Amino acid sequence: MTKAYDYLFKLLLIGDSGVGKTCVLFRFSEDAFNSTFISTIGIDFKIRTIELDGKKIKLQIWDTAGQERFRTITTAYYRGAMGIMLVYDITNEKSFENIKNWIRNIEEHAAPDVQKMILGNKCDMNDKRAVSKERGEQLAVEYGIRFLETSAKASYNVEESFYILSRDIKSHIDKKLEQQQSNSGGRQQLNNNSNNVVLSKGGGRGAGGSRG
Amino acid sequence: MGDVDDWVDKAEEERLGIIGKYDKGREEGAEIEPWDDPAFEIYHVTDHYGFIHDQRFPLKFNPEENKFRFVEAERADKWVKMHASWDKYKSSDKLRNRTFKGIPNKVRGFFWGLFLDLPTIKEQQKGKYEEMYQLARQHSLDVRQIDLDVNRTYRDNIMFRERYGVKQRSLFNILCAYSIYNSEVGYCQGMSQVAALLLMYMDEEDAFWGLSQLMTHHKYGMHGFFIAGFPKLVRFQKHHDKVLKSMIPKLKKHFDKHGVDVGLYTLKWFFQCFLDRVPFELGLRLWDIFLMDGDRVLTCGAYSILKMHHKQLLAKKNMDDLLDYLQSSIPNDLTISNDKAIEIYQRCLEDLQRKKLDVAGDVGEDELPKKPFGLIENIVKPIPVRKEQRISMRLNRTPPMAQKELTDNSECESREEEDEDASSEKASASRVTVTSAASSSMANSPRNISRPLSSISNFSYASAIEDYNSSNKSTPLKMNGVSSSSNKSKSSTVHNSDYKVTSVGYGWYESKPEREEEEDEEGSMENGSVETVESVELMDTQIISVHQGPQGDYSTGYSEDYKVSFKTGKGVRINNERSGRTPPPPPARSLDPKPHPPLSSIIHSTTIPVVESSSSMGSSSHNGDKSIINRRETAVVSSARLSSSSSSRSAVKEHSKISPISDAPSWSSSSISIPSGGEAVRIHVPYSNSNDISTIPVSTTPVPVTPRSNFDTLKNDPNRIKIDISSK
Repeated sequence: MTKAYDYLFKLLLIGDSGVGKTCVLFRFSEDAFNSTFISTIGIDFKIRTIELDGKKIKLQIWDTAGQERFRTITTAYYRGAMGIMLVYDITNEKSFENIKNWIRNIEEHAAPDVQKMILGNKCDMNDKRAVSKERGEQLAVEYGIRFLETSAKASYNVEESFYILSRDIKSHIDKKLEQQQSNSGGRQQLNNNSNNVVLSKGGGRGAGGSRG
Repeated sequence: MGDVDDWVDKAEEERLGIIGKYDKGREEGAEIEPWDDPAFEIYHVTDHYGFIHDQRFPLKFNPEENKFRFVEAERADKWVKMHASWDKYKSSDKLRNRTFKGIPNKVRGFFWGLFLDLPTIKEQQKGKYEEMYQLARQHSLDVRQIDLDVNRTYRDNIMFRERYGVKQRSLFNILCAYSIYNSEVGYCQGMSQVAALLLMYMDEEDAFWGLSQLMTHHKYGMHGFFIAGFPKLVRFQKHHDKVLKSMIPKLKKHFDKHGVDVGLYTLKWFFQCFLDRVPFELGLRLWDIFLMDGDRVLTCGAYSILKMHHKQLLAKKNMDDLLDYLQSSIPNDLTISNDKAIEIYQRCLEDLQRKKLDVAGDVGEDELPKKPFGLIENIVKPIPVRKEQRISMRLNRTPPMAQKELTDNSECESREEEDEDASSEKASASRVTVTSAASSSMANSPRNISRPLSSISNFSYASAIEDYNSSNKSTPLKMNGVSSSSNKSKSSTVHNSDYKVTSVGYGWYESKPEREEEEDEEGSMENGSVETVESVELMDTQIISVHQGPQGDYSTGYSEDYKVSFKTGKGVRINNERSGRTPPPPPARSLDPKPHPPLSSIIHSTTIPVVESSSSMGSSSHNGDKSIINRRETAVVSSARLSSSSSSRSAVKEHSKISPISDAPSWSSSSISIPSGGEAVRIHVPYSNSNDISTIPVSTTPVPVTPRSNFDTLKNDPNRIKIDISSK
């Protein structure tokens, strides 16, 4: 059996209802756009395997319901996430302002070293823009997070953003691995601040013992 | 009168036009609307239940389909007979067994209504829906979320396909109304699918009460699923784990090993009784049983799905595949027939009953509604209004707020004192700091409940509501020569026997509020700055003013205060004192564009095409033949309705009692003929029975609806704007 991947990364998409989280994910996983999506209830996920620096990386991307009421359910998935996409809608000011709340949520529930990225989605709808790109950038700088404007519909920057986030996670992990290896003489396994996510470099085994 | 002559001319013109078309014939380039043509693609890709598929169906049914339809037709007769002695059958084994076989689609909506006890509740709650709907238009805080979800609910079904189409509007209306009616639940994602399913089989008001019964009747108790914290979901998931452990321990271990948590796959099973998680047709069968048996269907259905697929599931070796199988494979193809699946369900039910596992424990106190329903009716109760009342709104994060009154208030009581509390508390996103008593009753209203008010600002309630009201945007209304879409200011007035509600035009204010740093949503709620004060002079009866500002791009000339005066029954006068610009006067209320079809025609007819919004029907841009007719129809009917709106109500009543045949999404069933023994041919003729010329669809996408729902939708939408023909 050939191993299907070298790494398994768990990513999470969060943001207000209707900002296009599912569309972004659908664009990334299926390279398609369908304007008649159904609203995500609770939590859902998609898989895509990408390649970075010759390594196969399986991305398990969790998509969450944006409605406040579901936060009790969705925050349970923060802990296992290694990367989080914060999505807002450039045509909806409130969704942008809520990014701060979402970040606070992350600080509360996610691993401290989780990699984050802000996406201003729907940037194809420039005529309805309510949040300038500069404001998005400024917010990202404020929090020291990466930022991109995307359009799931126009397939703009979606691919890029997932690659960037994955690269960040990978380099973060590689750094941690190096540290661990130098400390403990080459142990292969690394516990990513969470009990249920076990990363194994080169082992082809992912979380929960899933196998390629 | 010139108007009459005008109509006569137009009618003649139209008559000649029609004759001309037949003279010309098809070959000479006659204009043929797509839905007039049997080759119209949508007829060939729409299934029995209205779902639109990517591929054409074969022209002929396969033998299985043929048989199914034949059997269903036979069964429908039996059900109708059963209804004739309903008291005898209603708790009989016969009914039970027949329900397990599936309620025939033609009569499904009707019997769902009986299971839900709709006739009783509607009798008890007469007028309540209308009231809630009206209140919701002005007070619901969930409008934005509902709008987002209506846009994402069953868009692959022809009924919900068209944005702001008839059924989308009904869905929007009942969800908004329910969010006010049951303030603890408000609106929760997942409800839209449930409500939409009901709407596929019922009219708007029935679906509202159906939803209400599903939420609060002890048999279904979905209230506990949808309230914050989801207590019933937790209970059912726990119980499901227990069932799994006891009945299919091997699978339970397998799930545990691969991290497949019960929370990952049961949410839609329980929230929506398997909608979207099993093929739609099987979903209907499960809903048949659900409505008869109540919530143990959820427990048992969950167990049976896993039971019937446990081998396939055990073969999946990781979480992704397991979840993918449960969430994508099963809904696409169950691999076994529906009848077989229901058989397995029945066996599973017996198994669970034997082990006393069919009931998911005791109902928790926290799952039950604590607050009386429709409590906001306090607002509707007479509220004292001073001659001059100042309504100040915080426009920066303010959805439009309106006060509403019954005109016939006999008793007025003073309540001004309390409102400071009410409004200064979390009085809500709507933030009306009102010196009227309305806000005192808000203390009891849903807005006082600390439900999250996320993303409310930056969103215009009224504009969303407007969108649903004037569904045909392509024909902007013209009012006294002022195109409403040109200045984004609309006014509307309601006149019916119960209410007199007037909502007044609005404009967004140029001055952008300074934004205060918000720490969080709560913070932002406390902080909005008062931007504008509008004074409303109330002369006789107090009414409502909706002043609303959508987003900045709607900024128009109304950057100054303006005065609004009301007079009883006389509509609205708006004086913009400073700018001197006069907002357009409100158009007359829309009434039903056509009389209710006679009962006989409903029973025997199966389809009457949609009547599109009257705004389009009465469009003043009458350059086509249709609009002439339409205008005329509207004119006649409106005068009739004005004189006796109650008579049409009784017509609806009467209608709802009739035989259920017309209830289902029947355009497809109507199109099917089943010659005995032979094979049916799939010919869809959705508009075969348009006995009313005004029902020629005016929008480009046909949305077939049953006459009843059509009628009720129109009836229930008092804010539909109609052109005042007499002014023309």
